[in-house]
Amino acid sequence: MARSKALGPDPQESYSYLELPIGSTAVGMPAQGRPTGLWRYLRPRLQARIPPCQEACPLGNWIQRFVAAAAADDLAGAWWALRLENPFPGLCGRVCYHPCQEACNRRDLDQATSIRAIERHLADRHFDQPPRPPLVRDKQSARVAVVGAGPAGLAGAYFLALLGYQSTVFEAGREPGGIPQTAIPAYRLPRRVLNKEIQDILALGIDLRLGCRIGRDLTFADLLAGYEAVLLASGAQLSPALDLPGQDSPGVFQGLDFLQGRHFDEPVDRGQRILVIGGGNAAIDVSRTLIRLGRSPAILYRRTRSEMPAHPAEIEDALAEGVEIHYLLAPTAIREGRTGGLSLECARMELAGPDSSGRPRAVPRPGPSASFEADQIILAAGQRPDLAYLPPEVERAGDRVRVNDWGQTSLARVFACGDVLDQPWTVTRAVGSAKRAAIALDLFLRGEDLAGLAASGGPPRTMREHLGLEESSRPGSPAVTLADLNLAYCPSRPGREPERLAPEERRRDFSEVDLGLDEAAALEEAGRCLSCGVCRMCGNCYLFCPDGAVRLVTETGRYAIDYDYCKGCGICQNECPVAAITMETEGEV
Amino acid sequence: MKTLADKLTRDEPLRPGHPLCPGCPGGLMLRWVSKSLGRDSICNVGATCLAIATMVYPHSLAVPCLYIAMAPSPAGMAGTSAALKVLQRKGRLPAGRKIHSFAVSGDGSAGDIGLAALSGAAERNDDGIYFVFDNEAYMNTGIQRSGCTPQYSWTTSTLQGKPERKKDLPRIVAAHDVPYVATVSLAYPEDFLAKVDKARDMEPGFKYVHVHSPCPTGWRFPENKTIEVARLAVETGLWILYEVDHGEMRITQRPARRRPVEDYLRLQGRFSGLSQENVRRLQESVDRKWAELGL
Amino acid sequence: MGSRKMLTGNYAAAHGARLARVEVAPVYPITPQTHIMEKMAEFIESGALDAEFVAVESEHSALAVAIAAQATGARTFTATSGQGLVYMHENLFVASGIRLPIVMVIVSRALGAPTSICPDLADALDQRDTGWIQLHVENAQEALDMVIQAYRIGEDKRVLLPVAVCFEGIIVSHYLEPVELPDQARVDRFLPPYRPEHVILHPDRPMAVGQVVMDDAYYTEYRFQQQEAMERAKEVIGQVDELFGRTFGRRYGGLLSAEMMDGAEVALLTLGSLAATARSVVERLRREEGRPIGLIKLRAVRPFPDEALRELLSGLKAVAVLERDVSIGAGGVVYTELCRSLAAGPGPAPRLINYIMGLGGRDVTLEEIRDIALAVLDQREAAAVSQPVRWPQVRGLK
Repeated sequence: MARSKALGPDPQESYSYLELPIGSTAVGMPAQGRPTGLWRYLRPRLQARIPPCQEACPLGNWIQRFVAAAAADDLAGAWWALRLENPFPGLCGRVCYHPCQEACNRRDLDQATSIRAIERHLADRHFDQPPRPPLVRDKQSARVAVVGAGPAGLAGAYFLALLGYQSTVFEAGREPGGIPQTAIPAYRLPRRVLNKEIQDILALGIDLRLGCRIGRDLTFADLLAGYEAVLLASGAQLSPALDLPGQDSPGVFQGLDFLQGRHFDEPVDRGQRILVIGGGNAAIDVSRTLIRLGRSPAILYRRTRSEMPAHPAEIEDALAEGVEIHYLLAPTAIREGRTGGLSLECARMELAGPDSSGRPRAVPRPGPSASFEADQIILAAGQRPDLAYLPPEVERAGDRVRVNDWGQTSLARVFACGDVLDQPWTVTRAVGSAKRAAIALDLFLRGEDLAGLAASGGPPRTMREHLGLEESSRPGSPAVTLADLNLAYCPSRPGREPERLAPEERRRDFSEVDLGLDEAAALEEAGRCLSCGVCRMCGNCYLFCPDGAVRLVTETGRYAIDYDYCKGCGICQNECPVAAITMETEGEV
Repeated sequence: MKTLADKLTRDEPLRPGHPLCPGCPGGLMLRWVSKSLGRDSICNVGATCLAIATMVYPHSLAVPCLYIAMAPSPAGMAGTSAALKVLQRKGRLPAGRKIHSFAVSGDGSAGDIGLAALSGAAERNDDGIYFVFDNEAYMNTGIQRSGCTPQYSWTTSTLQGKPERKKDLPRIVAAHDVPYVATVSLAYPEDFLAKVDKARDMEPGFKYVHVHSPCPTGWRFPENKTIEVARLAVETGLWILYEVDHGEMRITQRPARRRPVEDYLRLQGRFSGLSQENVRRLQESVDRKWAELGL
Repeated sequence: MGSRKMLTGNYAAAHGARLARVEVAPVYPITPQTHIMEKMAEFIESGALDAEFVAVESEHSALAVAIAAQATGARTFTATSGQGLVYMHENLFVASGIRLPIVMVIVSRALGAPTSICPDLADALDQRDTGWIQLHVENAQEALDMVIQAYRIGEDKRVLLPVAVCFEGIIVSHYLEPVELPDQARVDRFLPPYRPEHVILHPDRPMAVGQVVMDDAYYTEYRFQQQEAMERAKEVIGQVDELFGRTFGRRYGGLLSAEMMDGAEVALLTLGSLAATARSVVERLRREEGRPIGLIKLRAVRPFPDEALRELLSGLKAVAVLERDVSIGAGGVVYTELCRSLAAGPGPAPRLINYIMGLGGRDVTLEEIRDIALAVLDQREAAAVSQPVRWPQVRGLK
């Protein structure tokens, strides 16, 4: 029998809630929320900032990137980021004085991250691997002549090769490698490490001419004629002109000659007691070498320990190994000694007001002078560049080559880098200035207006900026300090420092003193990096946004802010552990 | 390495565009709770600022929400759960699909006017997770004191500071022998979500999660410091993170080194009038409480 | 075919809920309703009714549970009295505002102070502004039948409003009567399961229910819709009563029951069990003395049957409104409503005299009603009513 409609719908009929229309007292979800982004008066911006290690690094290493990759066990990624900016990680990983670590924010928290040890570890891990350039651009037609195959010249040729340029490197000496090759002792830098890195550079197709001195075998004019550009990297190998009576006596040597002699395995003269004049790293290198040769060196320096230009760690190592250092003594004359050797007369000094470099001046103290007996005297008071091969059109600044901010000399086609410049003489600085010059050269050879770029901060100073691989932070924005970080997310963890040989062991031979970090230690140490200023995808901004206005963009795999809804509360910025979010006033550009 | 952000669903059932204050801890709470419970849930909303997020057009929570009145959200949660139970039993709703019944209510609603309803639902072991959004005052009506306002706090109805102490709601609920009671903090997301997940996956019964919620507007601190204030509450020992799981009490977050209460108080304008004497008293009461707990 | 049992009004109402297959029953005990709660618990625990019983901790929560359960899609039932009803007053507005067809039995009890557990209709009548349909019954059978009808009325798509079925405590709730229990299968055909098509709490169709509307948003329109639903309910109540009559053989007249009105010049208008007493009086006066008096039993207080009453009352000379309630400062509620209703015309309206009787459970005797009937018959030619609101039962004062 048919159901009467008056009785209502069949109770057995099922129905689905999905078909319900919107009723009169309840409201469904509309397509869009209210645009709460209009409330904002402060606006967050996900903006990377410069980590202090990168700001301090003289060669523009991509520190945060390679350390983070190492921490994530991405060896290939770490190696790529390292070699993009530095062809000499093994070298720098041993001899650089790590201003990065001095600047590391972790220093004020517990202990600086051992960045240099991580760099060295990566180099050692890849020691047996064949060379593979991090990138190579299309071949460019212009050719560049590089004068000098030291770290500056080789680095310059390396970066130019990455950028697609063919270069020829002219080296006056018998081997490439400059000062590190001939004058850095093996206990600091084993030669195989340096030579491997030099080979990897040359494998990019660089034409190396050994035993070819510009000014003798070729003129500078030849270079200008034969190449589209020239990169000066001839270094500083001349000894300074010291006005010291008796400095030409037998038994008196230049420090650099002594070290180079050791490198070439030339025999050392007889003599036990050797005085070393000078306070820089060369004096230390000479002294520590002498210790290993069983001699008794003593350093004489005109000011006190605090003013010594040598790196404090080097001074400590020297003292631990038994080197004597005498302060406030300036040589005045070298005479024949009473027992057949030499006698060094010195004025006693005292400290007075600062000189032009800001260090206290040493002035002679009234009173009797001092005199020391020695078998040999080694003068290690610095070097200077030999610029005789350059025409006057390449202007000087004092006894160095004058360049602008990006290494261009007064001759537009001629750039310079390394120890020919007025800058601290370290391997790291040399590589850094070579890179800046190579990048500027690239722009110059492609017809860019370098002076025009100066207004916006000049040509890029790193390969990653130059190749657009990383957005540089706003010009003039300060590096991240510890106070900028949110330390709630940075638990304190003690660091691992590389093992070193004990001083008694060190004196025995020229074995490498710094033993580096093993794999597990390097990984752990890399994990301590706080990633200052660089987003490490911790997700805090996304997690803590009360409005859900920070979201993961699937295309980029990074977080982005939805400004339609962001109210500008600033929680994201406050909880960002790495200070990679900046708050700005809404409406300001 | 997977962060908590990676492990959570990327779905946002709390859709942006809600009118809660900038920096509101409630937006965060609703985001995390709705991510954990998912869209197969029904929310009974009590009187709370969060009612503004969920009950004003265009509303923002993509799950069904019911607002009855100020006090009875526990009863509402009970009604929803009872209906789901009987409808599934009778075959009017498919049986296999788990729909989570939960409630969101403020401290005033849960602890004062609705305390009877809360107690009744707890005693009956009605099924559902009851979340208390504790911003320590009647904020929606303009920062008046509630039973959960802490001692010495300024509010518009305790201008010299509230003389009475904070009502210990979690302990009151725990005294009802319910399956689960937990205190959580927005500065400890892993702990928060672990507890919500646990409550979600437990057998049917009454679960209670009390969310300590620093309110920039009412507590008088800059709106970017919500998480920081939340963290300090735990680090100074003023807010203890624990759970009572079927009667077993367990402290889930122990600060390695308990900070002095001043570190927490000095960030908040509502405590700016505190005398040194009262700060000392507060510190003593925290010390005493921790000693009682054997910590 | 149904079965017959001796039942009190409370038990009869509970049976009505059982037969209506309610699904969630949140109930809080209060004299004189308590037996409803006990019976519901018994039905559910024994399995006679497949439902969830929620032993709430207050009446306010009882209605809150009902609202949430109904919004989630279940048919709900609750019952209360006096203080309990006014304790849940807040939520009555909510239930109606959300358009949830909850059915609640109000076992009328006097409101304190002074405290009393005896019958008085002030509690139910006080809820007339809440947007609930309010129906009054006079005995246990009518109570059972109206609970079933109430679901049919409330769930009708033209109505969608909560319904209160009201009867006096003690007098109806506690006195045993023979009651016919309808057959369950027949009730199932009369009353299909609740199928919400307007509001539901279900994740597949997320919506905010009971939401906040501000300023210029649709508050006015919501109220207007409720008003229109109430208007439509007038027709629906009559239709459902008619349908019930055809199905079960009992009908009650819908919004009101006009009895013995042939040739009447005056009428007694009342509600609840007073109608039963008044019926005896009127019947006797007509039969034994041939008096032109009739009886109007008001069943619906909301929607108030304005049209039906205007039609019925035009032509009468006087009407005595007997009611077990008073609104202090005005008079009886039904009387006041009737004045409002008749003021809209068409004239001429009968003179209305209000008799406040039976407050707090005071017994209303046949003699008292007879006196009133005679008084109103005497009054029917009077020009004006000297004292429109009268308190015939006051003792010792005046």
